[in-house]
Amino acid sequence: VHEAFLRLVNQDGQQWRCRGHFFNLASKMMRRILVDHSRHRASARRGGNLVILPLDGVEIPAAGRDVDLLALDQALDQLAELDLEKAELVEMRFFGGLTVEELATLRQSSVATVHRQLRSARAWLHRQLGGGRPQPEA
Amino acid sequence: MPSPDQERWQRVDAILQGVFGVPEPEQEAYLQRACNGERELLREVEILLEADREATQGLLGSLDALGLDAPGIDPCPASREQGPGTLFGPYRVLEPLARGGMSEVFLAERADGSFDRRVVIKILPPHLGGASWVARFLREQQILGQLEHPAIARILDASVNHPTRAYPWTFLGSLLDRTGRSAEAEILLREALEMRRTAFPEDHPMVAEVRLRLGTCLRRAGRLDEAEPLLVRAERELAPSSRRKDHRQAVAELVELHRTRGDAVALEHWEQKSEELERGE
Repeated sequence: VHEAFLRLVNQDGQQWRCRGHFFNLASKMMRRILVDHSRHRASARRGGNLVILPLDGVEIPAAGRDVDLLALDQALDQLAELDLEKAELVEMRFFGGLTVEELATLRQSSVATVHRQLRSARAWLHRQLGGGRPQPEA
Repeated sequence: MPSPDQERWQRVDAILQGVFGVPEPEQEAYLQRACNGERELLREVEILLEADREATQGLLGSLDALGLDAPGIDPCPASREQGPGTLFGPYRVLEPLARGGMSEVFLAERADGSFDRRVVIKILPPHLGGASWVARFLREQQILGQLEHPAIARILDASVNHPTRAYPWTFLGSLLDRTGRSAEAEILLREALEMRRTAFPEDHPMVAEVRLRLGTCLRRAGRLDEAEPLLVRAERELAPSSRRKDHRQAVAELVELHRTRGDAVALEHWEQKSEELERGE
């Protein structure tokens, strides 16, 4: 995993020139790792072979979240088609673990703005995942 | 050019974010004004508002800026076994080197005898979990990968923990500095300083503490002109704080710096300051 990550980051030699780019790549890699891992686990529960952890000891203990994570991954792809900026924000917040303050610094934006953007993205994703009951017609 | 779907979303998103910025009792009126009689638009925003209320629970609740973390991940199950003899992959722990609230460092050796090499293993304490830890783990790996050199202990495993504290980098930088590896220490300390400057005001003691470590590192490397402003500033900013030990160290560093430089006047000034601190003045 680490080799793959380093290879990815080293592709353009920018790892120390642009923090935003680095975090973006790291978050994408983390998303890929977690989603792949969830996919393997879901497959194993359906009767596949046991999966050897590919993460040098990194483990997802909450098996029940695998399906959610896979669905979130798909929903994020859909969001990216609609609004790439918000999809990347979610990716860095959720998979990269960056704080809202860090995201605001990276985006040269205010904390309040990033917070609103994340909240909007979260609502959209929640609806995609089956949430958000339609309001009754007036 | 945006697609029709993108254009539609941009409108919905603008209204939605606008609603988020309005006090709750005024949201309905705002919504009616913003949608201007467009029933479908209004309905779409209302569904998302309902989704927003529901989404504070469950997986997506972790996007909430109010402190919920990302999905739980155990970053290092092996860290629950920490005594000598514990295996981390092919390496066996010989002895603990250091321990803090956010990291633990062990001396280890190759267990299978395939080659004779001692290594340093740095792990997260068991109580730390969450995707953010793992992401920072990857990031620090990137740094440590650049530090690999035959003359320094190879760091096999590492993690960067709290972004605002940048503790492991400060810690690891200090550790390397004490062992005379100033070039490597400087890289980590500068990175730690940058991290803290993004999280704290410039004159915050948390920033001053890293300035002190970096200034110390540069002084020990004989780079007195670069060290002095860092140490002077750290001393000034640590003086009113509760970090008395760090403040005393800053003064002691300045004494050493001016002793090395042979500046009698400055040396006397800082020695006097040091004596005052010792007397508790």
